[in-house]
Order: sequence, then structure tokens, then C-alpha cells
Amino acid sequence: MDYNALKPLKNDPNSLRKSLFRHLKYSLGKEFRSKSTRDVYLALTLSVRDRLLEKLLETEARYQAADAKRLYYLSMEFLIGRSLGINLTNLGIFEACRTALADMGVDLEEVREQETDAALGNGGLGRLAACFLDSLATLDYPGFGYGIHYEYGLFRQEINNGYQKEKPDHWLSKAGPFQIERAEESCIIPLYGRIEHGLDMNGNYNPMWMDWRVIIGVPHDIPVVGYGAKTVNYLRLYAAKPSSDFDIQIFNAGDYFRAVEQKIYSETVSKILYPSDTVDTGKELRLVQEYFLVACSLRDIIRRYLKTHRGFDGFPDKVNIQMNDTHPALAVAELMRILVDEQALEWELAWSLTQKTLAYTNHTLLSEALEKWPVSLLEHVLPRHLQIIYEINRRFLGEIEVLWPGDTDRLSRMSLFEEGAEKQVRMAHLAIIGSHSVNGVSALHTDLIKTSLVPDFYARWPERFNNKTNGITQRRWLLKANPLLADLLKETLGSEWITDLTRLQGLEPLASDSAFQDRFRKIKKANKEQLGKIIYQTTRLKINPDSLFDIHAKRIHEYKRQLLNVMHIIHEYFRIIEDGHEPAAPKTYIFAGKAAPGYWAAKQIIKLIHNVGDIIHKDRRIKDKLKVVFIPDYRVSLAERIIPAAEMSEQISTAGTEASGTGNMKFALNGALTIGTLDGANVEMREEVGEENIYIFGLKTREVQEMKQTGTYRPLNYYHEHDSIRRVMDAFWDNRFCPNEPGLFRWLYHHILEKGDVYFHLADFPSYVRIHETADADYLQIPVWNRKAILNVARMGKFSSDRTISEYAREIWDLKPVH
Amino acid sequence: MNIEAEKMDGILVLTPCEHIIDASSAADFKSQLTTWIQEGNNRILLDLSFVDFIDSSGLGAIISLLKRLDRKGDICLCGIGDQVMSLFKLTRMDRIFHIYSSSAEAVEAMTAEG
Repeated sequence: MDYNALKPLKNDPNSLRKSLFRHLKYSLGKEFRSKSTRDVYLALTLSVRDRLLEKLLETEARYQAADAKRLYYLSMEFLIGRSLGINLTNLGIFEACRTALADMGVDLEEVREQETDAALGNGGLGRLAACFLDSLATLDYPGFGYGIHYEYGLFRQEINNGYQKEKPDHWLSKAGPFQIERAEESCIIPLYGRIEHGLDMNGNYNPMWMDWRVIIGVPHDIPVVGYGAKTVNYLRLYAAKPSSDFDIQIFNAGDYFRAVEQKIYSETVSKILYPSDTVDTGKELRLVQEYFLVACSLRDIIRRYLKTHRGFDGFPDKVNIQMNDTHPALAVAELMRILVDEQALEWELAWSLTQKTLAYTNHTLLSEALEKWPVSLLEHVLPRHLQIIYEINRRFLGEIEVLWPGDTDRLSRMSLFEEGAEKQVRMAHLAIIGSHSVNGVSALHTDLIKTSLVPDFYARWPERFNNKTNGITQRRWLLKANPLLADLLKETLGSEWITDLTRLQGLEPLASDSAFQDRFRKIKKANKEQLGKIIYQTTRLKINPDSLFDIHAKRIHEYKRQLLNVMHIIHEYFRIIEDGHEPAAPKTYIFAGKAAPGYWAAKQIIKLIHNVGDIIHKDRRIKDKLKVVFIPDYRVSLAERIIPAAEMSEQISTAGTEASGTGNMKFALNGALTIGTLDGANVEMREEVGEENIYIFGLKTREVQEMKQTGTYRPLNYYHEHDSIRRVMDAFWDNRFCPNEPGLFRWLYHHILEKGDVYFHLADFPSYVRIHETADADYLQIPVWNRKAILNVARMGKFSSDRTISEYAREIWDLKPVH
Repeated sequence: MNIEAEKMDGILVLTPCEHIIDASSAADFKSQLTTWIQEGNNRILLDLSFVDFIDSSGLGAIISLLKRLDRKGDICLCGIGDQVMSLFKLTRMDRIFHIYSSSAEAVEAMTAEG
């Protein structure tokens, strides 16, 4: 039988069931009658994978026939979540599968619950990468993700007496068989060693990188299917293995531990995701991870390119590489090393090719958070790369000297090397210098990059700087996460919004329609009831589904100001019990999010939330007017349950700190009203939804900057001038929320009042209180609230990652879809 | 390590009969090469046709051979497979040795240089 005569797989319920039976028997060796739900999950996943691979091969054939330009998205994080549901959705076989399983007496939802999240990321940056892969495939772009195959993803969060406890997330042990190991495409990655200085045969300086250790990178491919199932790309994740399992000679000599040492070290490289969403410089393993990603990716990219092309002149016409933050910035040095050392290109040509190929996305506004590596560490781990970085810097500063003669301060500011007690390499500078494009992730952020973060580089290359406002995939975050709302939208508007989110504008005429509002409200209520069940299962708290669900779900961080939210809750509590205030409507404040394990203040805030909740819930005077919930172990699959139930979305970072945010978009798309500062993408959300449909408060970025620069912010003044603030701050001092743990929250008193309140909690508190009062009043006017919520949904079209990716493709990558 | 040695037109052709030259064999490899040089052989062709993989210690042994000759001789390489060549390029060692595709071609070229 001819391979090409294999018929395409069918997707009707009968065919799916047959496929499932076949895998149950031949892949799992299970009898039908003794199958477990997990067996069905594995068999279903394998059946789905068959269909994905069929399409993946078709897609690759299409790309090869077109000799398509390819985009490679390098990221240390891909926060994918669960895959089965989105694969069924995008393949268009969700209902067929449900029917196929139902005919077997199996519930698809129970089967889906067998899957654990692939938590290969910390937060927004990793989830953005995952949304981008969905959009790339949906839009038929040849775009591929490259990352690390962490054995342990982001830790599981458990709560013990109000404190976060981290537990290992060995996702692989429960992962479904979506991924395929491609051992035949492994690559050899050298590390460490030294430079042997010598001369080549022509008498020119020839640095030789010697005495390196070798790690093997083994790729694992996860298919990524676009909506409509036309295109299936892949996410390639590299696992680190030792070059040989055992050095048998050493073992035979009796030194077991030394024999295993190499093996253990090599495997450590891809063992675990660093659980911090800020910088971890100084950690050698993290540097090794970053180089491992870059080296494996570039080897693979070049190997694929050279299969069908000769020479590198056309390389940027066929390859573009996007660096997600500075974590893959070593790609600049590694690509230069490959082109100059291995491919023997002249430096100038290699540099031109490198710049045309690479592009950089910045995600950070705080200069102190920009990644830097000690020169000594780079010298130890990557001696040849350090040499190359020195040479890049020498040539670059030579150019700057010509353009700005005598301006030594500028040279110092722009140098790749930062002098100090320990000389460091500025990875952001390396990324900028080595790229043809530098983008921020919201209009405000990009503006701040140009004016505050790296103004010297903007002055040098204004044409490189551009904005690409973040987006989210409506397939996961509306179609899959909120099936009730999705069905209403399909019934009302058709299905075009699934691939063109601007079609949601069709809802605008219905925003005030009472029948439509009624259905919309019922959906929200149903989602709230579902979330209520989850809250009860995980926390044993009973929640009133008729209360206002005010949700603050994101990483716990001082700049995201969960503390401000808690302070407001405490204020509301005191208003009720001390001022006799009767709240407009009962409220449930819901928090979720993880703190980096080493971030003490963030972990204390989690404890504070629990303690405040405990005190409030035990206070009979409150009855059910106020509830405070912390849902543990926030992850993608939990976000898919929390977001559809939200009525108020807290996006309250100090202005000028959040580059974009994407949770803000997800909540609004699901009909929550935003309470937020003019920070990140909130600014553009206000432009889109209309200022009457969003609750904006607080200092603006410029105001915060001015106060910082002039040193005029005095938290104590706010403390003295506002009774409400004083009452809250005194409560921290007076142990009102830690009667059994006196002194526990006094650090907040010191932190805010004596150490400058770095994130301006007190300055924003009065306006935050006022805007909540406005929102509370609106909530009672049901038609008004619903109209605002529906208009939010209708006007979120801009924030699809389809729009974002289209912009990247057109303006940065020059990438064309291959239909 | 088993290294075959053959004299062709005054050139010592050394052929390591191992698929892998790594930390476990590099010391012996280096020792044998040193012995050949100490016996007065200063025109050497290293035929790596059998070698599929060589790590940095193996490459270091070849470099030490060059240093030992100290420009008072010639060392060339031949029969290098793709994998080994990629490692030569990675280290830039391909720029300090003449590398030929076969021993015959190498001997002819080395003889012509005289």
C-alpha cells in the first residue's frame, strides 16, 4: 500500500470512537470493560494527536512547497495550560467527541479533568507566548515556538494557615501524550571551557574554544493547531541530557559518584522553571538554561534552513527570530558565533544578517529589573561568547563615538558593559543592538521605553522602535472558557468573531436591549455559581452568587498592589462595623495568584488576605455583606473558570509599572468591568470601550514620575490628612487582623509610612475608594451595569492576539501566511 | 586506543580505530601521538574516518600534537565526518589545519608541498 494513499482521518463520532477503541487496545493494552477515566483520556489524546499530526505533515508540506519564510519565537516560558480542550475546539471536533464518548457512557468533562496544566511559565510573558502560537496557527503563519522542556513547571501553591507553601509540579508524570520526542534531531551544545589564543594558517588571530563540556538537547514537539484546523505548527521544547549516560570507565574505576555527577549536572539544565517573574541574575544555572535554549534553537533553525538553501545571503529572507524579553538575548552572540566561527563569514556580513534576523520584545519598565550577567560568570560559562560581545561592543561604541564625539557619558550609558563593583553585561543593550526591531507591549509602555528606559538607543535608531500592544486568543479565553457566553454570541452574531474579534461590535445595538441583557446576566450568574462551587471545594467558603464578584487574579507583587485592594476591603469592613454603613450590594472579593518563593513581602500579602478574610467572616456584624476569598494554585485552567465569573476586574498597578497586562483583556472580554489605573494596556482599553464604561482612578504615569524625581511624595501627609487611611494603617499596627500573631503586619506600617510607600498606595487610596463607590452605585442599576458590561465585550476586538500577530508579521517579520 | 600507523611517501598516516575519542580515551590518544613525534616523525596525517564523535579532550590532544611539533613539522587531517567537522568549526580548529577529504588526496598534497 502506498503511504500517500492513506486516507485522511475522519472526525464523525463513529470514527472518533473507533480511533479511541484502537488506542485503548493497541497503545494502552486495555480491555474496554476495565478502562478507567484516565485510560479514556489517554486514548482520546492519542486519537486527537493522530489528527494533529496528519495536519502537521500537510502543513509542513505546504510550507516546503512555498519555501515559506519562517518565524521562530524564542521564549524561556510557554504557559500553555491544558491542551485537550483547545485542540478539540480548534480541530472542530469538540461536539463529535462529546457524542462519541457519551455513546460509550463516558462524560467528556470528566475526561478533560484528567489533564494537568503544562505550567511552563510564570505569568503574563509565558501566557503571551502561548496565545501567540494559537494566533500564528489560526492565521496560517509559519510560526513556531522554541522553549525548554522543563521537567518541573511552576510550583503548585498550597495554603497552610494562610501561608503559601510551594510544592513541586512534576507535570510530565501526568502529562498527556501530545508531545513527540524527536531524538534523531538532538543537538550537541558546548559549555564552559576556555579560549586558546592562536593564529590560523594565514597568520590571523584565531581564538579556539577548547575544553568545553557537552550537553545534548533533545527536542520534544507539541503540535499547535489553529482554529479551523488548516494549519498545525509546533512548539519545540528542548530537554537536556548528558552526552553519555555513564562514563563507564570512571564507574569501573570505582568512582560511582563522579560517573553520575556529569549525568546529574546535564539533566539539571532543563529540570525546573525558575519560579520568579523578575530577574534572577547571578544564578549560573539560569544562564546555562538561557544559552541552552538559544543554542539548541539556532542549531535547529540553521540546520533546517541549510537543508534547502545554500549560503546565508538569503537567511533573513527565510528566517526571523523573535526574542521574548532578554532571556534569549544570547541569540545575538550565538548567531554571530555560528556565522563567523562555524560558517566562516566575514564579521560585517554576519552582523548585518544577525540584525536583519533578530527582533526583541521588551516587557520591563523598571531599569533595575533589566537583565544583566556578571562578566566573570559569562567568562566561566561562555568564554567565546564573551569575546564576541566585547567585539560587538567595541564596534558599536566606535559608531557612537563618531556620531556623538566626545560624549563619554553617552558611551558609558550605552555600553554593553556596566562598570561597577562587578562588571556586568547589559542584556537589553545586546538585544537592542543586535535586532532590527525593538517593541514594547502597549502604547504607553513603548512610549516609556523611548523616553525613559533606553532614550539613547531611541535617539540612535528611532526607526527600530515600535509598539505591538499585547493581545489574547479569544479561542481559549472566550470560546473555550465561557461556552455559555460563546453560544449566545454565536447565536446572535454568527461565528466570525472566533477568527475576527472585531465582529463583536455587532453587539453594540443590543447593549441596552432588555431581553439580551437578561440572557447576558443569567450567563454571568451561572458562571458565578460554577465558580462558587470551586471556591467551596478548595476553601470551604460558601459564597453568595448574587454578590458582586470583584476579582484580583495575577501574580502577587507589590507593583500589582494586591495590598491596595486589601486596604480598601479593610476600609469597607470598618465602614460597616464602625460607621454603620450599609453597603449597596453584598460583595465577594476574590484573590488568586502565586508569589515567587523568595519574595517575602508578596508571601506576607497572601497571609494578610487570609487573615483579613478570617476576621471578616467571623464577625457577625458583617453577616454576608462582605466575603474575602483566596483561591489557591492559580493557573491557566483555574483562570478559565475564574474569569468568566468576574463582574469587577482589578487592574490597579501603580501607573508606569505594568508594561501591558493581559488579564485585563481577558476579564473585559468576558463581561467584567475594569477598575484600574491608567497603566499598560488599560489606557488603550479605555480608548476602545469608552471612559464611561471603565472605572479609572489614581495617579498617572507622569505624576508618579514627577513625584519620584522631585522626592515630593510624603505618605505621612496622607496618613494625617485622611481618616480612612489612618484607620487602615493603624489596624496594621494594632494587630486588628492578627490578634493571635501580634506584630505580624507591623512591617506594612513601616514599609508604607517610613520607607516611602514605593508603589504609592496611600496616594491612590482616596481615589480608589471613590471609584469603588461609583462602581457600587452602578451595580445596583442593573440595566446600566449590564449595558457597560456588554459594551466591554463588544469593544474588545482590538485586543485579540490575532491583531497583535498580524502587526508583528506585517511590520517586523515580513511574514506571509501560507494558505 | 588502537591506532593504525602506516608510512606513505615519508608521511606517517595515523588512523585511530575508534568511533569515539572522548575523556576516557583522549589521554591514551595524546600519549601515543606524542610517542610518534618523539620517534622523529614530523610529517603526520591524522585520518579520522572511523571517528564519529570527538569531544574537547580529544580535540585538545590534537592541538597538543601541533604544539609539540612547534612549526618544525606538518600535521594534516583527513576523513572527517560531518559531526566531527562541526566540532572543528565550533572550535575554529578547522582554520589551523589543512583538512582533506581522503588520505590519498592528503598524501598527494603533502608530498607536493615537499
